[in-house]
Amino acid sequence: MMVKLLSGDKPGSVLLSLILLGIFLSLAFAPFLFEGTRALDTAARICVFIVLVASYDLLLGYTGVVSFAHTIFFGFGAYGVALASIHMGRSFEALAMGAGAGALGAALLAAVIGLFSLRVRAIFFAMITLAVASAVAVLVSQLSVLTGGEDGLTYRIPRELTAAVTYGQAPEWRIALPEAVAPGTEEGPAMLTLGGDRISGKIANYYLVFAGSLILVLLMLRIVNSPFGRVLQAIRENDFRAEAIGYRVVSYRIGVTVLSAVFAALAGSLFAIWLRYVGPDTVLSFEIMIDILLMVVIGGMGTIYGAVIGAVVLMLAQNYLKDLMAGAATGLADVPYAADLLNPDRWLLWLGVLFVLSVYFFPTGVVGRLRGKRG
Amino acid sequence: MSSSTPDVGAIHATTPRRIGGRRFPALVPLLLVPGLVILGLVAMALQASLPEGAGWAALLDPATWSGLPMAAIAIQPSWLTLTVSGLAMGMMIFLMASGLTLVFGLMDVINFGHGAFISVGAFVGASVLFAYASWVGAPDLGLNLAAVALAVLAAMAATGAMGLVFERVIVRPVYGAHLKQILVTMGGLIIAEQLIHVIWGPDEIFLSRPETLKGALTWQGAALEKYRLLAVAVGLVVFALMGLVLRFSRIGLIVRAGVQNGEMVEAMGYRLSRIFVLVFVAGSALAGLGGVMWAMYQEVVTAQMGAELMVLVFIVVIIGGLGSVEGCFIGALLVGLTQNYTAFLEPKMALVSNIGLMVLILMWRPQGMLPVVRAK
Amino acid sequence: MSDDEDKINLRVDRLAAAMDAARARARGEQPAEAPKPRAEAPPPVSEEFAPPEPGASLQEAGRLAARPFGAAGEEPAPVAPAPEPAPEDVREEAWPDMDPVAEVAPEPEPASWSDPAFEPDPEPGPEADPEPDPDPFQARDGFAPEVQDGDVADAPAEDEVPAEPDFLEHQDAEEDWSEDAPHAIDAPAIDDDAIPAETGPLVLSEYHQVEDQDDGVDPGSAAVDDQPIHIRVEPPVTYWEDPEDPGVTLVPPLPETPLPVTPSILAPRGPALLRLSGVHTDIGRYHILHGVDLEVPTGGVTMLLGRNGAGKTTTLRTIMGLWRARAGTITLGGQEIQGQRPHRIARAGIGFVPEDMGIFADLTVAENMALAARSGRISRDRLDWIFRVFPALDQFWRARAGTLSGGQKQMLSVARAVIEKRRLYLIDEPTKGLAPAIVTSLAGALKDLKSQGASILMVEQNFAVAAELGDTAAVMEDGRIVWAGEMAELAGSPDLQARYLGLNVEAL
Repeated sequence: MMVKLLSGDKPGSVLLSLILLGIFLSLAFAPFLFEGTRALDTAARICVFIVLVASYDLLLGYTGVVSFAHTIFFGFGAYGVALASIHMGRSFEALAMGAGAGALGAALLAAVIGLFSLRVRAIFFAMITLAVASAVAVLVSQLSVLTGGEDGLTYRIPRELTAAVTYGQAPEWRIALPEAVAPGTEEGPAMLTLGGDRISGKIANYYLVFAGSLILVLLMLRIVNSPFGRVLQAIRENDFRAEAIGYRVVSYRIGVTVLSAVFAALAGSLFAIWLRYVGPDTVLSFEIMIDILLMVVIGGMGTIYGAVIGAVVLMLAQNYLKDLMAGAATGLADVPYAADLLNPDRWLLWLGVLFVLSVYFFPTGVVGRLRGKRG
Repeated sequence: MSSSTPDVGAIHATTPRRIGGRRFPALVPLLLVPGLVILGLVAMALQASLPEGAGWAALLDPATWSGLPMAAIAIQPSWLTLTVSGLAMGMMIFLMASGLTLVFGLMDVINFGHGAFISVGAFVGASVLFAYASWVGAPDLGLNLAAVALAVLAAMAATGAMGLVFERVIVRPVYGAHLKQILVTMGGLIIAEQLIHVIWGPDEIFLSRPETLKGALTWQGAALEKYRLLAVAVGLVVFALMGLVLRFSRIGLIVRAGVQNGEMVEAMGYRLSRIFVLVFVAGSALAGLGGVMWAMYQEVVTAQMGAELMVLVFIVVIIGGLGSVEGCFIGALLVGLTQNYTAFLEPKMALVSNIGLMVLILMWRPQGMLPVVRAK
Repeated sequence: MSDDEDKINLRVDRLAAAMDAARARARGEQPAEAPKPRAEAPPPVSEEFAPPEPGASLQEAGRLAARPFGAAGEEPAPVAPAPEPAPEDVREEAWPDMDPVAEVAPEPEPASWSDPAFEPDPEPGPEADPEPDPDPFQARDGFAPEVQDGDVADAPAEDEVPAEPDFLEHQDAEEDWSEDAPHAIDAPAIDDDAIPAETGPLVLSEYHQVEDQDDGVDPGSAAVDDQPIHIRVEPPVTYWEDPEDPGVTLVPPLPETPLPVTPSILAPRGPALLRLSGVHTDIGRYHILHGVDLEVPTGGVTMLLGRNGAGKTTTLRTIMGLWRARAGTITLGGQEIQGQRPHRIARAGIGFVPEDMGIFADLTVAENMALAARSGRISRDRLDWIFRVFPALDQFWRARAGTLSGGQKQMLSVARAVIEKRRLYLIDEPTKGLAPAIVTSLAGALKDLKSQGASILMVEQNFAVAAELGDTAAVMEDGRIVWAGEMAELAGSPDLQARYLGLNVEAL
């Protein structure tokens, strides 16, 4: 049953299975396992980014197409929910409408971009999407009447999904993750605390995000293991040959671009539901695009599981590694440049190095490594 | 030997002369620049002659059109200013993009980290300008130009050296794999940006143009900024030099041939990888030059400026035709002009207008205006 | 390099003189300054001709081949004799057949192609001609069977197609063949039998040549039976011996009759200039070459034939370094070149005409040529010659190469390769897709090149052209050489053609 749910795509390594199971259980019981809003927020972001990164992996890993416009599609979903919630009032219908409209818009835009760039050369796509992404980001920040400009949009979601509603009581044992590490100290050990909270609508919201993400990820697993997915991989391996066998490479590429855009938009909708805020920085910025790239490459291209691992690792790193770096930087304050290099704002530097190294040496990412050990 | 010649003669007698047959279409993109300049004037005049709040219907009104010449004359100074500004911008983008397009053409390497050279060039140039603040501040053209020249040289040296390292460390291991190239060069860009932060600090740096390059000349009632004129001149000189080198030097010959069929150039006994490093370094240095010029143009330097400019650079490279220097030049001018005219007509649409330009050109020529004829 | 070339040219001249003399004799005149009429004494000699141990000789030959050409002396033909007078032109008939004087037709255009620089075997003189190899003509006859005359020694092609399943089992086949074409196949048989085990390779003093031979006598048996043949020692003419290692013959002179050829034993012409052994090449994940063994002699044209997809182009590209061989060695003049970058291989002296012509379309013809002249200067003489054989290039000198017609592009591509003298030219299907008239003129130019002493390895699908230009041939199938030998033999044997090339003689 499990295997069927995963569309027959088994993780392929005991360690990988255990890690995935651990991630799944941690996310499934996050509200009860971890204490603090930051932990829950991190868990929700991880869920959303797993979908976003997996959808990007459809393009990059399974089709070999590099897009820099993925944040646009992500933004379409997010702004769709935001605008619908604003204009239709707080309701589940608004959320659904917004998500649907966002997905549709993303699909259309993806189709247009694909038609223009994939028709000629796959490499055009990377450049054109980069240009389009930047143009859209500028446009969104300038059309402040519609989008709220740089400030973004704040809106209200159904009350059932907010902290205003209480459903019950959380268990008393939970792990407190370090909120912030005091400078100069090492990472504090995770500790058990007593004293649960009430189960609020926030937790319901989390489970909406979690369930949505789970469904989308399983759906993507389904897609990549379908005949369609096989054709995509054939195209990635040898597009000329795939064309010769009779598959219209361009159609497939455009098709997967559209699909990937839809999934990204839905991830954006979940993100918007969770955050109750959208703005250019949170959904459209180039930094997010780079995050996605890093997650895919570090997790492992061409495997949906890689997206899962990459998203988890990077999100945790982003949220908790910075604290560590801050501690280390203060420790090394006397060494010239070292402190600058370890400045938490420079964490991207190290990720960049890691990124380049992993493209060189671990092109299959964490998942590829884990699977490789087995074989 | 004579036995074969009669046949050959017969054949060639019947071969139609097709010299220059493909040259003519190549001219069309050249005409786009003056075309766009005129279109800009018409559009500006039209906007000026349309009554406030008039809808599209007003375009059908003959009165609108009859008033056009007058409006054009009235608007001509701003049009002139914008045109110079657009040309200046185009020239600077050309400086940044030319290296990229040649690098792509020669070795099929697409360098997403090219923007890093722009940023680094700008920062190095700015540092030099700060170091020679007295020269920059002096109201003496000679000193000012010397400071600028020093800044440019330093920037080009720095980015050229950086290009050498970049080629060796980032690009060379991933020859022939586009996907990896894009990812790795992107990683290189991230690293370079972060290193700029480490070296120059996280904040943007403001600088001021040399004293004598501030302000504008007035010509025909139009204010022409001195610095923009300088930028146009620099761009033209570089373009001309590049053309001369490419056309009349042996290395240029190898580069042009290599862009079309690198394999054949290798099979003729030329070490293309060496030439490629040379072009890569030269392209990086030119990007650095573009970065300095841009820094003085904007009078501010940020680590992200390279990545931001890369958007325009990519548009230019795509619409010019990957690998074509001439296409790149024309494309850069088109982008610069479009951006400036649109910024005047509808400021929010400036960048979007360039996307529109790209879409139009790709609809016309899907490979770009002057695609390099590749053997494969 | 240029020294070598001078020497080659010198040799070419002498050879030409020798040939002219031979031809004159064939016409019944006495040559003014007569090079000694000589010809091969096929059968008895063939014992010495027996190629040495393939492995050993490969190395030895490789070593020697690296020596400058002059090493063996100033003799006109350091190159093993090629028995067959390369056919002049498809349309031109009548070289002196191996049936001597009677068949000799006046040489129509001796100068046009037949400076047999690396065709060291002087034109078989009439009286001295034991030439048992009817193949070149058979080839022609094969194309137009009705031309064939009875008095011409019957080719196996004509009357009988031996049906031996495996070519390499030549011994069996001989009986069949010898009935109809006795000297065509007999020799090898004797060959094998006659080699004394300890004789090993030919040594200088043992070289014999048949001066006179009675017409109608089967040369094979004649030799063996001690017919009155004049035996003269003429050491350096036909082979080289490694001075440091006497007894090792680098270039076994070629017996008149084709040896039972195995892929590793090739009919040698000059010292092998290019040698591939066990070359494997992968393209992507596809294994294309499965151990190619090929030798290209110095001088003359080696045709690489085979069906589409057999790996011919891949072989050339592998030699050129454009694909990297996974295994095996490639030597050019004794130096290993496999694994080197293409530019180094090109600098080692290879001119390359790729399958797609590799024209720089945006460059002018002049620029294309300028680039091809790596020294930076184009020799005026060379250019004049190129303009003479390819007048179109003169006419369109300043035109962009992209505006040329397909045939003109091909000419440009060939011209680029030959603008400077190279040790070896790799030419990949120069006639592909060209009009017949252009094919003819291209072939003429290549003949011209060949007559200057060039060594050419050429892929050609047009068998008529291949048969006309080629001296030796190698047939590829599935990434291997499945047959190698004299072009004449292949051209003369519809059976071989049918088996290896899928050619149907009737269809031609």
